Amino acid sequence: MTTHDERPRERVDDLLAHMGEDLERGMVPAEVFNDESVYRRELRQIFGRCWVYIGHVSEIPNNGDYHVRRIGEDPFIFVRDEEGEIRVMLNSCRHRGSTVCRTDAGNTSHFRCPYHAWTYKNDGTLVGVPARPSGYRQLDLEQWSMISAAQVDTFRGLVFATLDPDAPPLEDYLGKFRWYLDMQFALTEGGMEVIGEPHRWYIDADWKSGGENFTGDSSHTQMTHRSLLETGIASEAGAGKTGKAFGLHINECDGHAISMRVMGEGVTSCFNYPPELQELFAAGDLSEAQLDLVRRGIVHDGTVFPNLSFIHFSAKDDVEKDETAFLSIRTWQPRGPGRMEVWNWTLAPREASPEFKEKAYRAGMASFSPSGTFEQDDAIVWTGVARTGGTLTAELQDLRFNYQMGMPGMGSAEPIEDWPGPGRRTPARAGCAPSTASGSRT
Amino acid sequence: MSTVTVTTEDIAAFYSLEAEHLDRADVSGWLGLLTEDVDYRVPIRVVREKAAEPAESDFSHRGHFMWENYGTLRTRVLRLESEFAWAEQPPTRTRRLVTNIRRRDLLGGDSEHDVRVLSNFAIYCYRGDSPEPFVLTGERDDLLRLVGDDLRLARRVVYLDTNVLGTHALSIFL
Repeated sequence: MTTHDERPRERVDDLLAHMGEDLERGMVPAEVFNDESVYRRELRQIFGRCWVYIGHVSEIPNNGDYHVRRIGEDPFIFVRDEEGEIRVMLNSCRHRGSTVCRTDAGNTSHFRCPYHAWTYKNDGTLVGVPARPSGYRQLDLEQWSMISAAQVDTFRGLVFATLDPDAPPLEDYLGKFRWYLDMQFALTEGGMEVIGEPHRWYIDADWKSGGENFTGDSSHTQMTHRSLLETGIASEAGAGKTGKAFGLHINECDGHAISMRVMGEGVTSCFNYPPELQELFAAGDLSEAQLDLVRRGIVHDGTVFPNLSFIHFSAKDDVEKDETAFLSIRTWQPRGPGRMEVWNWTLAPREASPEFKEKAYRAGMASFSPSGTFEQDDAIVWTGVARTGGTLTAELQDLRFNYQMGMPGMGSAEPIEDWPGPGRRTPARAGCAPSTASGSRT
Repeated sequence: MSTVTVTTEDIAAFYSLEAEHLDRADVSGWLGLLTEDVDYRVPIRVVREKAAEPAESDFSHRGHFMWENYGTLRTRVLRLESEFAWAEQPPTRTRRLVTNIRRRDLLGGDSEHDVRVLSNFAIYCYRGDSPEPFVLTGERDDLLRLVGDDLRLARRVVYLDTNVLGTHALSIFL
């Protein structure tokens, strides 16, 4: 929350107009992390125009399965209709706007409004208006279906929607970044499967802090997650220590970014997936170059703009036992200036055994979830960013946060030329390449 | 049916002792109150339609906020004892209130040593310089086991009232 009256509109206009120049110098205005006007514009210009992640196809396996999700702050029903089509519809009756679905999830053939009983099939078609013969004789039911998001599409099991009818197709929006998404979501023919229900929790921090951290903040691990390094819960390699592994940041990839820590050439780690699953990866449709990065993978973490992040990693829930591989994906959802609601899902390959899926879930939950040993400390350090951004002092002093690490003159890292994939890539030796500034510019 | 001789006072005393350890941030002391085969879960609540036939639980079968055994709880305690566990450095100040203690028929367990107990809880959490506590409430379904003369926690399922956590981390034990 801001600690004073809303900032003058002209000031925010000015801040945003100069943001490109600021980023060139490696600076970001503190206020953008906690400002009512910036927030309102983000809802409209970002969440109102971009493709936003809704859910995974594996969450709605049967016709009639539904979950209530959000685009920005707007509530949408994510449902598989009776024909098997995926729909994303505003959770509102077309009559007078009452909320049609007041649950988190379920299965239904019809949605019925509790106000006047207008009834819709699960594809949103209006089929029942009780007062019709006496009061709505000329009502054309076909004109009063539930409102769909402007566009809905799926990539590798990930369902996205946009409120903008003029948004480019999803394929173009994801662009060249699909090369990296393939490695997370299309390892096997069956793809990934969500295990259980999402975790949902609130953090008094700006939605942008999460996505930014997941695109390439290699240097925070050593301190933010120091308790895990000290106790042996996290391994040095995963955390950023140099040695046999090396890290890199990839950005300027059609607006999205990813960070990777991989073993040296020819060394297999494969996120610690068991051999039987590794064999399935080889039989999937990844290219040799993609497979190589998977086989050498320790951690791949990235963000699909605006707010879908993922981390493909392995972790221990028990310090005495080995790590288990998991894929965690999350959306950092806007809930007001300086406040977000995080939704987190844990995924594993569809073909994996029930025993592996349980282990993967527990490893993901133990590290990246509200009780996660990594996640708990990330949340803490981000709250301060929003708090500072909301101060009067930040405004009076034109406070800028420092994103200069690794920039020309500051960093010793040179761009990586020899690379089989898209995007601009720079090595990260437990340090931030100039990825964050460019990522922010995007 | 449980045949173990454990009084309601014994059970209440156990819960008070447990709360005392945790409210004093004595997590290793708390660990000592658990059996080595402890099964501890906090499933995610999913808000569903009230069914005519309650076939579907209000709680996820696979999704959990916590899903622990002795080893994983010991691992969490190990981390909490580090000075770098920022979520609990400084520690959250908590106050656990445990009430509505009810004995129930056993579901599994050993009838000569185990007793099943339901209880309600409210945990008030204070952080930073906020005068407003964050509050978590719910019900617990426990299996308490008589080990020698002492009760120990062998199994716990925590049923939170909330489906969305209103705080940035679940860094305490419920």
